[in-house]
Amino acid sequence: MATFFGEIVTFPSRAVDEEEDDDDVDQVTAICQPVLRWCPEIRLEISKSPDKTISCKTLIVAVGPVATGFIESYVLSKDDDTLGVVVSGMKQTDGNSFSQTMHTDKSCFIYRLRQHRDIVVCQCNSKVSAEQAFIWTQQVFSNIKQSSQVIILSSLQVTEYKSHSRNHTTPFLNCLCSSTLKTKPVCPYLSQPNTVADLPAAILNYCQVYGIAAVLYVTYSDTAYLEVASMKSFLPLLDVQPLKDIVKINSNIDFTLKKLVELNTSQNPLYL
Amino acid sequence: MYVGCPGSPDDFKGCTLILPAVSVGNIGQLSVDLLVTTLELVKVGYIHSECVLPVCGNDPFNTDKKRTEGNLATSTEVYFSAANNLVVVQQRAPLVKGKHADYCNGLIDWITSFQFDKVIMLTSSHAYERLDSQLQGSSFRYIATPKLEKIIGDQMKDELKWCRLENRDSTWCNEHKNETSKISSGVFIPGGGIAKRLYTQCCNKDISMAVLLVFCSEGDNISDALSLTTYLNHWLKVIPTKDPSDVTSSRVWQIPKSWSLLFGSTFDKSIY
Repeated sequence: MATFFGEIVTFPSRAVDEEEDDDDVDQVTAICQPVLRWCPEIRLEISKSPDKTISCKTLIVAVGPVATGFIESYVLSKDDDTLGVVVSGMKQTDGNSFSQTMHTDKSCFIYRLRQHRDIVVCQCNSKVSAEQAFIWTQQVFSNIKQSSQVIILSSLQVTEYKSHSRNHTTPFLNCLCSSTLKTKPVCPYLSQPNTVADLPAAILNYCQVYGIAAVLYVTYSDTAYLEVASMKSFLPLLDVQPLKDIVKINSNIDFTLKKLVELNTSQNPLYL
Repeated sequence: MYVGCPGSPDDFKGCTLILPAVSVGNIGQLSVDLLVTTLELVKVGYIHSECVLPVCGNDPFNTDKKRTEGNLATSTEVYFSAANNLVVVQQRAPLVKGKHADYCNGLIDWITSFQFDKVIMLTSSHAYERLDSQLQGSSFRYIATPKLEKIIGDQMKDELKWCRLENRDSTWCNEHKNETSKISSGVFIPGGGIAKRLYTQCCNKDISMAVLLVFCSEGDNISDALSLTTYLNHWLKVIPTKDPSDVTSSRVWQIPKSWSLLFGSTFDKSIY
């Protein structure tokens, strides 16, 4: 990681340790703990609230470029308020734009929709490791109180999908939901023995354990890079509540999606 | 750490706790899968801890056709059978490196506060680490803390004819700096996960605890899991068996749905 003056600082990593039984590695864990920071106005709003949290009806968490691309194109607009940011560290190779507002930036901002102020959206494009995911979830959920439901969007590679049948038309959408969710999901449940790990799993597990209604939509795509079709695989969500009400009217949606793909593929070294 | 489902018992007085260790071949976890499926155990809570990596999936057991759709399975869940006085923990993901001690401390606190009668940890050890004397005969071993050994030692030796794990000093560090208990100083379970650590702590806290293990290698470990579970059943007698000498019988145990596609998706055989 580079400091302000440009020196490269290396952190001790747990990845170098290959010993299975960690009798001696208890001190070696220097996992960067995720931190949530609010804007000054929001901090003021929180201090005035009775339980020191931001309250909303629905919390939408998009994880990864496919999910954040979908939300950016169909839900978020430029005049939505940025409430805060969740910082979970960066790698040496991560390059961000100056204002950190590009889709390719490794950022994780929290927004509140200007038209629908009871909906909070978290656009997580930064890498949250499996070890950080628990604290990340605790940070977010101890500061944001949602009354209705949590929607998590994520994407995985189809190579990770186990199935008896070989004929999948990719991308396809599957879901998992917590036991308190009352509404019916818009797509089939993820079949056994498939599992979801990392941040989406940590959020859904938290919701399950503490009785929060939550649904995780995961799209399986067959390319390693962002594609218009993968982002469009989330479209069935727009037919039902709560996204049905909040979808923004964009007559030029195909152009917006294409632009996002171009933005991401410009850094793709495949044809260099 | 432990979060009970609504209406779950406040304590598990008189119950036996069965814990898997994430170990070579995942024998402990496979055995627990067999127990939960066959005994149709009911989920009563979760172990929600930052020490376990997040993972989630759909209902992994095929006990009840109605429940299978959309019943979320989290990283670590607690199952209960009032009829058998049995509490079984299933851990579906490895522990975070460097958090093994925290996890064990949390387990010990839970075990003492919920007043478990005894604790049984199911684990396995690398087959290639066996001593010459361990090469022949049964690959099953047990160890018990002094408190439990006093109660069941004779039953293990005379009735069950179980073999206690041979003491062995580690070649490289006889005087281990973290060694706090002389009782567990010769216990050597390579590849056994947290089994030795938890055993040592149970010795120190005077908790009735036994470790059951098999020597095995990574691969198709279904038969190892069947035999370990059968050994456990010889002791606890949760399922009546006709032929106690048959330790690999799969007729007694029901295989859960999550064991399908253990070696990935089906492939097109015509490519060969």
